[in-house]
Amino acid sequence: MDFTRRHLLCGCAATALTGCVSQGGGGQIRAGYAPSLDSAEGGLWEIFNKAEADLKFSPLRMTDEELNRYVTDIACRLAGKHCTDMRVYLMRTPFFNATMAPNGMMQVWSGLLLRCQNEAQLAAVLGHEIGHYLKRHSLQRFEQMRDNSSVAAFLGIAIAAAGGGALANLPGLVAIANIFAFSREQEREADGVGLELMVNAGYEPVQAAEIWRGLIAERDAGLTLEERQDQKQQRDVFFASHPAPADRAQALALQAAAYPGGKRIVGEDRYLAQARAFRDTMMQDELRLHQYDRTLVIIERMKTANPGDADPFYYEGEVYRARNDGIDSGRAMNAYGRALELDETHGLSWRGIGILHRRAGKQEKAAAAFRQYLELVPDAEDRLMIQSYVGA
Amino acid sequence: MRIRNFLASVLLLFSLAACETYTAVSAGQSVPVGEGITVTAVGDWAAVSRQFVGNEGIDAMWTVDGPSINQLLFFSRVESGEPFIKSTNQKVNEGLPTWRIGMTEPDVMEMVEGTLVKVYEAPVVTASNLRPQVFLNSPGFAFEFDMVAKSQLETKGLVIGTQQGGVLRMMIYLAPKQHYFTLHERTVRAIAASARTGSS
Repeated sequence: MDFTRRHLLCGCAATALTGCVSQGGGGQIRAGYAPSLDSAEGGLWEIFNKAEADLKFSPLRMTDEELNRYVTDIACRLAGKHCTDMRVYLMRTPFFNATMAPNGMMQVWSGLLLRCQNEAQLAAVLGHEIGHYLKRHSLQRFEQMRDNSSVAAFLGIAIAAAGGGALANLPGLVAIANIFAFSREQEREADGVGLELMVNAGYEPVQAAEIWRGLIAERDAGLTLEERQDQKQQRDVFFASHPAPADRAQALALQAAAYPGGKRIVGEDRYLAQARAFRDTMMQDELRLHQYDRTLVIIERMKTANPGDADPFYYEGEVYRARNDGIDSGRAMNAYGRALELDETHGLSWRGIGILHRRAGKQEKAAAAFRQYLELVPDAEDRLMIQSYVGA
Repeated sequence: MRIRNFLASVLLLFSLAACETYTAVSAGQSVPVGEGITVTAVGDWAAVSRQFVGNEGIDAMWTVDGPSINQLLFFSRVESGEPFIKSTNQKVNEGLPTWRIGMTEPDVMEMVEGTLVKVYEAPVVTASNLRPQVFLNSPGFAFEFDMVAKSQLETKGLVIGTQQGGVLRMMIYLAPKQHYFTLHERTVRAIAASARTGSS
């Protein structure tokens, strides 16, 4: 398992984690509920209240008002009368993850926003997290650990999991996840609740399975059959208590099929309209992870969703240029060329072409491409360096 | 009496350990920093002993206020196909970007970004202002970066380097964005300007 694959798994673990801590004791939580401060649950909430106070000032927070309002509105539509019990925090962290703390603090990572193709897929993940909250799975877990005399461990984990810093400390999450994962039953229950919330809010439930299929495709990207088998076995070590992604996708698809058909919200256009303003930042964060095969899966999904969009081809060029293995330069050149066919003003693609030519020692061609880049992107961050290449 | 002796021993051990951790680098002193590079200190610095440097690949680490506050790192000879730094956590090192002969300066900047993301386990690293800069009397490059490390501390960095003789030579200054980065930034630029090839 490579670094990036571990991150994928960690991200899922983190989801389980804070999700765990987010629920309270037996039975469904009622709207407006707040535990007594002198109760164990009250103490647990207090830990997360303090963590939330810190989270508000995290440098990783994505503070754009419109995007925050958009995601919060989706969460509210799903949560219904519990809407005011929850707060959504968008965090710039390039891994697939969303979490819900027991006090109603929900975190949504940018890696999740990048991977969703439509509003219904995002609603599926948010609904799942809200499901853990409504069913008070964390408190169940807490009580279970208390019975096993593991309270200190639980609280230590809760504190670690509550902090955004700890969430960013992904290798640490592996250890945490092993102790503090939801049970398979809790995960299935949260999936079921999430699906019901989706349908009640008018979303297309079939999309819930799609998000998992996308993750499976990422997990398996670039692996041989044998390596995929190893991958599954390793995953099982980490997530012994979690349904396998393939099983999960299948179960969600079956459950979705049981709902009566009809016109339901997928919300592709409005999701893309909201996410597009941040897509480049999120994609650049993804590219910096150098997890080439997985990133190519994300890009392929983007291409399918937006066939006339030049950006996914540019991102594809960036992946191949960075990997620079074998015929990758040719692949990158083709991808940049395709981006320019779709949008002749795509200046960053000219930058990529210029770099490829310069690497190959074709200085005149490089200079011509760089001139196009500088003309189209006059405020380029690397303007001074590129000017030095063209002799300007 | 026993307790006093014990405390004295502990203090002695601590002071010895402290002596071994840092070596003073006084203003104006010319010091070799790795293979074939010598710099002249501008201001007073402390060189961190190799065993306390942590990550692999760093030829010299200097600090003014302690490594947790600011670090000036020197990489004197990165070979083609190698990452310029490696974490002490081997799992993090899987798939680290490598420097390669023939890379352009934008390639190097992106390689540094991708490496910092992994080695510092930083969710966000963003480089900017790539520009030409002479380093070691050769055409080179400089750029800044902003990093939010896993501690969520906002860090700013300055990278100055050159690709010459089939190797990458580079120095990186890292410090908290608030206050400390700008406090020593000019000094670091002056140290970079003093860098010469050769051992003295």
